[in-house]
Amino acid sequence: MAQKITIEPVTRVEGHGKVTIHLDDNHQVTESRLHIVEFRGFERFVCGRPFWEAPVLVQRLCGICPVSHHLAAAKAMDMLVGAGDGNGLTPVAEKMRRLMHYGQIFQSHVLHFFHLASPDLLFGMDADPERRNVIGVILEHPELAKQAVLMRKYGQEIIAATAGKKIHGTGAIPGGINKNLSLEDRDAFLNGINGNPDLSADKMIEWSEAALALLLDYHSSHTEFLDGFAAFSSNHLSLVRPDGALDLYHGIIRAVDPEGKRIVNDVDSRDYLDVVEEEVRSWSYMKFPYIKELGPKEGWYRVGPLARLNVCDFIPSPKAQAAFEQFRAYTKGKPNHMSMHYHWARLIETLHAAEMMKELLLDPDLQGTDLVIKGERCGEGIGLLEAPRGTLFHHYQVNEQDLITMCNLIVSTTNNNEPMNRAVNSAAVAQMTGKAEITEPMMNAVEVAIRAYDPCLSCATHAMGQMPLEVTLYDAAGAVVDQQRKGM
Amino acid sequence: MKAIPSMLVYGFGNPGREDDGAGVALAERIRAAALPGVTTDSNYQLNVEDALLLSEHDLVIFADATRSPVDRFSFYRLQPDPSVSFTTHAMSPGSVLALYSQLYGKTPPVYMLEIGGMSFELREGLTAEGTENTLAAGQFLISWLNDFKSVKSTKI
Repeated sequence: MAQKITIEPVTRVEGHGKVTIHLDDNHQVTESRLHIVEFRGFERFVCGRPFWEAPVLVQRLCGICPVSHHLAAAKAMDMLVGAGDGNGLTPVAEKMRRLMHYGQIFQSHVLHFFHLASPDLLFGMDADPERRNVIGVILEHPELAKQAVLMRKYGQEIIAATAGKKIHGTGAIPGGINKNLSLEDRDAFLNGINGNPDLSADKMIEWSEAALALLLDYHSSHTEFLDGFAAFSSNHLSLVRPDGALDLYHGIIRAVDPEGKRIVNDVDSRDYLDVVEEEVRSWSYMKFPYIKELGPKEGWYRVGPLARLNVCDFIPSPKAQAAFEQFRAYTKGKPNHMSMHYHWARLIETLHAAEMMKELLLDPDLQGTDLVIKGERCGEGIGLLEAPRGTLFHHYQVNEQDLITMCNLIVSTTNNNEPMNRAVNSAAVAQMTGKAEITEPMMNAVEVAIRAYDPCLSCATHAMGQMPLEVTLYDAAGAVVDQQRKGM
Repeated sequence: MKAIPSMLVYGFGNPGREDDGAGVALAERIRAAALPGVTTDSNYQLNVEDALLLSEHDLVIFADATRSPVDRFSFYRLQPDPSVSFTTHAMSPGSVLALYSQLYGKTPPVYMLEIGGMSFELREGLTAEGTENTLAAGQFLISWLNDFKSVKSTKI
């Protein structure tokens, strides 16, 4: 009997999503989809507002990624006020923004690894769900859990010091930044917040290395799982510095094919519409971006940590560079297509962010006083950056009254829409083909595949909410034959 | 001389989504009241690092909007909630308390103030009913904090 399985919504990601898996009469998976079932039209919310409000307004889009949206919008506003396209700011302004961004990358990656991914890795996808969670991690690995809490705290404090406050930060403004970093704050971040040496820049680097070592150790004993689970070939896209370095704040657009050949060759970020197009499909509110020249069938791509390490030539910080060389050597210099290696790439970026935070904190430019630069005002602004989950596009048009008339956002999770759908299908085929009964571990396996991409459906759908899980099996006639609910 | 206990009112939610910002608005109201010993903080949502806040205060009150039917607001002592089998990028207040309890072996006094919300769409500002409910919750909390301070100060 043909069946349809629905996982609704997906847990440990934000927003409203559900997974459907269709099985034919022989229990073969015929189709799997990640659906986004809610859309609230954030772009319309921004239109009609004064452009200088955008860097604050867009933080309302998502409580998970407010800093990424804040900075992407600020970069677009830089262009509007004639302050260049992300590389024309004063040293203090650019470096304060970079510090804010690395704080965000750091705390976001730490949260994903310790809070969302490590339960599956430490206990296994098929472990008892009552144990397979962050409390389980604490009970069995209390020191690891304490480190994770302090690492999150450090990143959040960096954000607060650079953005000004936790909600609706105002640090980045059109053409610059509204404050520099005080010597008091600098010393606290270098030596330990509130005198606590566990909250120092060096400790963050040390613990980032330890987290990476933990994953590599896990990899050595679970190679088949990490290499094979939800693995598939794809294109990869990200920003890179013009010299090919990993650069999460600003760069040119580059993409490589599954063999590593460049298919988008270092395009100015202001020309993103020449590179990327989006396809609408009837069953999801989340669009499907693709590389224009290749079309929707061949042009879809991955973004985020895995893509970034496949696209860049090197990482400009020594410890992360050493880890990057090991990462690239594993696939003999070819692009890495293993979905679970997102975790590996994410932890290399965590280490890079920790190194960059220290490097920036030691830079006297952060105490500079030349905060803002402005030039000739124009009517259009485009800001791209590499958010924790991948490339983030902000595009605005403004009328002569300074009001926003057009806003286009392509968020990181949307860029990964097709890859996440493929990951779901890959996991479903591997776990459910030929199985008469669908178990909780099988359903969790599908979610593990999605979670590797660390999606933020809050950004993608512009909604925030609790994430209970419902799995329903339908027969060919649409009747419910089995149903499991958790967290509802 | 009596010591004043350290009290934190922590509002969370998104002020860009109408009544979802009630907890943040309440924290702002408490901050404006400038009560001795009371500090305020706010964020979009709670997360693991907020467990550290519990170690830094004698009393923590989380404030958030609720869709549940309440008579303007609801106030209760929070219990640790270890049932975090399925979580998101955010944590519930009970899970933050459970996290703290597991990490540090203590369960400090933490209360939850839930404020009734009517609408949670992408729009700035509270609804009229959300505003009334937040004002009522603020009045109650200011009085409650003053009582707590009086009782607690004699014990410190």
